[in-house]
Amino acid sequence: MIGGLRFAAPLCAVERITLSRREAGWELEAAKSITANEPYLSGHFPSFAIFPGVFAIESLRQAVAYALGELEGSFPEIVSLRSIRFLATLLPGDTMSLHARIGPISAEKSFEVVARCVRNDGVLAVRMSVEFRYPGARHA
Amino acid sequence: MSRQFEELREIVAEVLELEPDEIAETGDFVEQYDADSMRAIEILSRIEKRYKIEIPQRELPQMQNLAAVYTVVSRYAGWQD
Amino acid sequence: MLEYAEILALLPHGHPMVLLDRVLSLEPGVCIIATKAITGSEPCYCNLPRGLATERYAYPVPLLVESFGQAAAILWLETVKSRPHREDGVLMLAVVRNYQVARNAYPGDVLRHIVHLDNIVGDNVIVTGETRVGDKLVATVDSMVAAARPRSVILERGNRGAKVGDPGGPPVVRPGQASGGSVATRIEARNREEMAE
Repeated sequence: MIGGLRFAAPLCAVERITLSRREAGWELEAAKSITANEPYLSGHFPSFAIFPGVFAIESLRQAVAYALGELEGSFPEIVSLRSIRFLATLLPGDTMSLHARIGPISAEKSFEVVARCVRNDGVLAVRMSVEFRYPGARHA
Repeated sequence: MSRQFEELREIVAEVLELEPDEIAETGDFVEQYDADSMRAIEILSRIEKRYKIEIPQRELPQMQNLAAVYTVVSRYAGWQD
Repeated sequence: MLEYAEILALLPHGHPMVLLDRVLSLEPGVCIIATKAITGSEPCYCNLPRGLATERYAYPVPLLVESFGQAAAILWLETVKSRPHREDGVLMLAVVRNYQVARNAYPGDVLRHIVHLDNIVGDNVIVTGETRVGDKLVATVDSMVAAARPRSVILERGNRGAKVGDPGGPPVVRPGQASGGSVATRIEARNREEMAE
């Protein structure tokens, strides 16, 4: 894991993060190989393992946090899940690639992220549109 | 276009996360607006709540564009043409 | 009122993925109020280095969502009990619309989810609601949709039901072209410039 977890997290949800500067923001690529012994998977479900959909949101959260880094000692936090759509299941043995477009960071230290998770067979598994913010921002 | 037609257009637009004027009458939700299967269920649910009607799930295959949605809904809601 | 053992019996989930401790009230077809106590000894707080600030222990938002979703699942299960429904169905989260985080929750907090049933369409349930700690709002949920799908369909490979956004297989990882300096220093530099004007 990239430098070890530095905040509470249900699992290590990303590997291989790449951040590239774009005209107004960044492009983020990451991957996650889903194995049979992920934390929590033994309970989801006891007789057959399915990667919980919410863990894809966690993959995005971790990828964004580790790619953009800290501001005044804080990582960016999720403010709002505008739209999350789970379209296909991810099982142990699958690899999920995350492609995200990170928008510019506003004066209030918030930014929008639009992301897709694609399964290794090319099927679109998750669509996400999430608002993040660095804490400590003052509201108008 | 009738008021109800425009109301349906608004509901469809909200579910598809588009502007109402982006929704063409015969624009196929899947082919043209990249809708997944859950979008149709969300559209149906919002229509049911809005007009206090029940539309059976078997009508979903007939509700693949705005005009088709209007046709199905007006039948269940008893709208006159 | 349902205790943890009864929740375990109802949900297909198992430890440690059962993110509800108690159901305070349940009106089938209408509403459920369920709680989850956050404790420092749960799996998401494992393996953290010492000396982290309190805010690093904020309960992960995806787990807040899952916990709320499980309350919705119990409401659905108790609602459809008395009607024809799919027995082999696994309730999967399908859609989340406008889930707003109002404040973080921390070890010691007891999450209280208030879930309202909006509609049931076939094997799909649509809910709305909120999560509180005491009287403090943690999150509001405009709309959440869960779908009961047969186990066989979920586990089937070659499930091409979803539309692919882009053609082709997994992407080639491009070397990063980030400009010099971290995001943080760039924001601080811009703030300093603005204050100097």
